[in-house]
Amino acid sequence: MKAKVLVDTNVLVASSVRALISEFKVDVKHLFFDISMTLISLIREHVDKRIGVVTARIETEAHNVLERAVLDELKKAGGDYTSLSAVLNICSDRLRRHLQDMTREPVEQDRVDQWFMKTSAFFALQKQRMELMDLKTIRSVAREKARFSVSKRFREIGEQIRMGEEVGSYYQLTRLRYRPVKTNDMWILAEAAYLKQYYEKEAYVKFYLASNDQHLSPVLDDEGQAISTKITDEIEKEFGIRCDWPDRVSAEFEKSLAED
Amino acid sequence: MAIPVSAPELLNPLGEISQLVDCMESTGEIDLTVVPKLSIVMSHARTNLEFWRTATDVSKETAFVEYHAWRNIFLVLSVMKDRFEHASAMHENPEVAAEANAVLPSVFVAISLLYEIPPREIGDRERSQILERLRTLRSAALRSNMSPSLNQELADVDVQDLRNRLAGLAQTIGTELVEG
Repeated sequence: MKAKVLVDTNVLVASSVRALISEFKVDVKHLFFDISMTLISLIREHVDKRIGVVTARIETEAHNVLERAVLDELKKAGGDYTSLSAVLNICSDRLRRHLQDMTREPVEQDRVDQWFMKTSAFFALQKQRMELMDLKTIRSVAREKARFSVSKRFREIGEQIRMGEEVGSYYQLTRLRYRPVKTNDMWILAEAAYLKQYYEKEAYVKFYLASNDQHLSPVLDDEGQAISTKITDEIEKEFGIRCDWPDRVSAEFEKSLAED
Repeated sequence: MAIPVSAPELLNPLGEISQLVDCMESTGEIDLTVVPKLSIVMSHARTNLEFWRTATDVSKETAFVEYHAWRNIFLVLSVMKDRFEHASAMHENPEVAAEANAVLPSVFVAISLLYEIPPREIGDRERSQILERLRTLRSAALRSNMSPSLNQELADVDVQDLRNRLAGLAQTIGTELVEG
């Protein structure tokens, strides 16, 4: 089975922010560097299979993020320019090397625009879902679930446990209240939908979107287990795209490569 | 505000370098007279970058982007010069000429752009244009093995400051740094 992964800007940026200067015992990196590099390394290792995909917009945006961050840091802290210039060069070169291993797919902008309308509507719908899911509603769902799964004797404690689980399971949705979806997330999903449709003109393609963004990828607990997938699941249902964290996408790819 | 080195002072020797490199590529022989010519352009680029390091008549962002551009031009040319100097010993003759030829147009275009836009008129759009041009230069350098090594990149850098800057950058993009 053919599989592709569209790599989100945030994965490219995270895998580019690192300074490793052995001589001075300096090794610092982005919080998501390791999980992002897991996927980038797999793509590099199997470059002949053309797994990793980006678009011109993703590529430009990744560079822009680094450049804007440097200019913001300059505004905030001032100081000498040399270190900032070196930081920008080191991170941008790393990004450039990652991009060399990706296929840059052209897109038909008018088609992507059509998909953008759909992804915007999709996220507007998610916002409405979120508004319906207030704490009172979640509590009554938990109570109902406890009623059918816990004996009367333990119902009170059962309800509390269910309540915790339900609140957690809706977290991807309820966090939209204070972290609204950005237009960029809608664009990347629109491009992913366009590309999936484009690839499938030939044959079915398992299509992933690797992202470090919880608006798209599942919310995980400390052990890396998915606890909230409300939006992720809807994306898969609506667009046929599996969104996940880069290390988890990489693990799935490794499994399917081993099966091939 | 006048940039200390004029455009012809940079672009004329760069044109001569380009002709020499063309010639090397067709004859397959390295002509070391290219080295002092590269030194001249590098020295001018350094003069300009020092100018922008201390410039106060423009915004910090503009001064930084100009500084960053001249620093990159300087770094790429210094790698090119090193490679020509050591081409025979490293058996890189004549690949180095072909690779230099792949990078020189980007150097030329970047310098032209830096003189084309009057510094006082540089806004967000022009800064993006310069940074985009530098991306092209760095990509060409990377493809042609003319990209500065980490040691060359860090030659004048205070590593502790670099670490702090990276932490600041990480914070700006909404994350934190962790130890490797």
